[in-house]
Amino acid sequence: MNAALVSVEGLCKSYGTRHGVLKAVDDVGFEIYAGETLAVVGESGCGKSTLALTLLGLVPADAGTIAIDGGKTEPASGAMTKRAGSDIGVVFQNPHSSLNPKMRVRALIGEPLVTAFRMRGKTLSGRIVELLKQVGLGSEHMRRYPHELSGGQMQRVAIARALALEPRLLILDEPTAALDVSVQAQILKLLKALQADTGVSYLFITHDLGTVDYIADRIVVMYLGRIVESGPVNEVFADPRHPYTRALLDAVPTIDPGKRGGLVTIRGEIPSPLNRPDGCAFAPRCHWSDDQCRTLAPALINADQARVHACHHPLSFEIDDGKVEEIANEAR
Amino acid sequence: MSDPVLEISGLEVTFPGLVRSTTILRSIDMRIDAGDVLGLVGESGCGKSMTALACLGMVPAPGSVSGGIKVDGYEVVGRSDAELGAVRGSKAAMIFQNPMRSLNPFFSVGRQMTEIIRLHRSCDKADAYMIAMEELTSVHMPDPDFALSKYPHQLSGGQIQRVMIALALACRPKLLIADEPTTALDVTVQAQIISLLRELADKTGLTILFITHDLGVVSQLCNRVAVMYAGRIVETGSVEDVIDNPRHPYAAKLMNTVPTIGHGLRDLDSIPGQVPDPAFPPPGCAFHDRCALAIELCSQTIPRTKVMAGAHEVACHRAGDIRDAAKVTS
Repeated sequence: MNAALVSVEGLCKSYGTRHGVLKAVDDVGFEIYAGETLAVVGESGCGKSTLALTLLGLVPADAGTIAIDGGKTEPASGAMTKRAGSDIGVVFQNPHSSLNPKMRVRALIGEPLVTAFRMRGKTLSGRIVELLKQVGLGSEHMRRYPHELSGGQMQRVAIARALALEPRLLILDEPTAALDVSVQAQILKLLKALQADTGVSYLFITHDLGTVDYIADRIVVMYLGRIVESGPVNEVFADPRHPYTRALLDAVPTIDPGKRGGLVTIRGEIPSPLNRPDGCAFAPRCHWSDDQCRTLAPALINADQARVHACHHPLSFEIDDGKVEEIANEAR
Repeated sequence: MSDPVLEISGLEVTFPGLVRSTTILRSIDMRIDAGDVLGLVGESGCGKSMTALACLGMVPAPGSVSGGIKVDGYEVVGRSDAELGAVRGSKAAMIFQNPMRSLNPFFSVGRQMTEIIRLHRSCDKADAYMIAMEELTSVHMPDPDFALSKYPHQLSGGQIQRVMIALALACRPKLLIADEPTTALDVTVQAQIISLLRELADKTGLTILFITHDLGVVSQLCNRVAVMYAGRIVETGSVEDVIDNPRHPYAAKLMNTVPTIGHGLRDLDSIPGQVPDPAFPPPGCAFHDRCALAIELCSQTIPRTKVMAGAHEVACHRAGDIRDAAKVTS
């Protein structure tokens, strides 16, 4: 296999709080290859946004390495932030807060070009128009302020700004969560087309598994700061190994008529990351947990080539369907 | 047939402006029978939350309401706040998207629950506490005694939403209005709340008006659906009618824009353009400039609601011409 564009190893980040140490990201590692989309999914508090911030160098990591195109960087060092500027771009969830309301679209997209490439005059205007065209906006938008744009248009401007420095990797932190479904579909299609055109890689952070299936090649599932499962999206969705992945898939309400009324729930809610359960963090909510799960944290196992999971009792597709039915009946 | 729990006829809500007034809701007709769970879906700004507020006489000033809204036979429009006290809580109760904002952070959950139960059911503190315990048990709150002693910030989002549901149901309303109650919750907790509402509807015959933008949630929870666009209801019917066999081009498009697991390779459909500004609605059908099937008539006259079959109603000039939704997507 060709070398990874981005490779992350042993990344850790904890925050000291009044109530103790909060391990937001705990020993996380993964690779992103050129031109692919890696989705990071998990519920609130699983550390997916902290992960994005540490990759960008906006938050210094405690330990671990991030290598972009072979060049290793200590994430804690200041050099990271500068590098990130041109190698990694970012689009945040809410364009209302990520775009400066006092700047026109021209200045918003032009600022990185001026700072990094000292572009000016006609070259600058030409590049801005080109970027706007790439995201499906016309040059008439250059003079507008963010409040004169709709949510979808603002998110397009945010994407154009992120693409201005031609990054190799674009981090997308829930870029469609604040948008309506019809607009969400437009943005997802745009992102797919942009990737086909430019070969940029995406790290797509989301909690919506339907979106993952549409846009991503590989998936990383996180629970309370750790990776519980990763692999190619179609394989993980067809045959989840970790009970949490299975629970997430079962909990998604779909419009599929065949699955109507088939919502399977798991007990409890995500514990606070401040008091992470001993052993496997998912054990208190897991139908399959035993004493071993409650005392010994499972290590990440490389099951086959691309699939990785951290579970003492990994599920397998054939034998567990009956058990799930049984649990579903019990829950009712 | 028994009387409907909620009957809305010709509802219009208008807000005056400096230059021109803005009509948020336009001739809304809706009927929910006892035991039904109706999902009201639409994108932001289509008027779904305003419809819910109007049902409890809570349209904010200076909005003006006309038309009729009958909750369990009681006409809501034109009543004073004092008269509406008889409706709120006892005939219809409401839960909101962000349950943390619905409770006062300075008082314990128990104190707030007993206060409201005493107000509506005129009983003493000890009885109210017992009722609160019972209600929390019926919404499957783990350890209700513990929850009652806590302050709102000490409970999780899912637990608070259970408290709100318990509180809403404590006064035995005929109708529960739920305005995006699961939007702020994580997906595993959302599944728990949906299962709970489904169970309450099945076991106690609770009637629910469920407002959401998530078609998946509607498909899992509701038995009837109403789709709103730019202040009007464009399609109504059973879940099977509307979700599986939509007849309005907007509804049909909407179903195809939802990314669904297992449909990864299918190309996602999207609707060009954006929702019109309610202050400047386009002439004719509000959807015509985004619609692939629009004809000249669509930009001239507002389509009347037509009955397709049984209770499946569609407001579209071309509804009769759409044989299957697949054609709309091409």
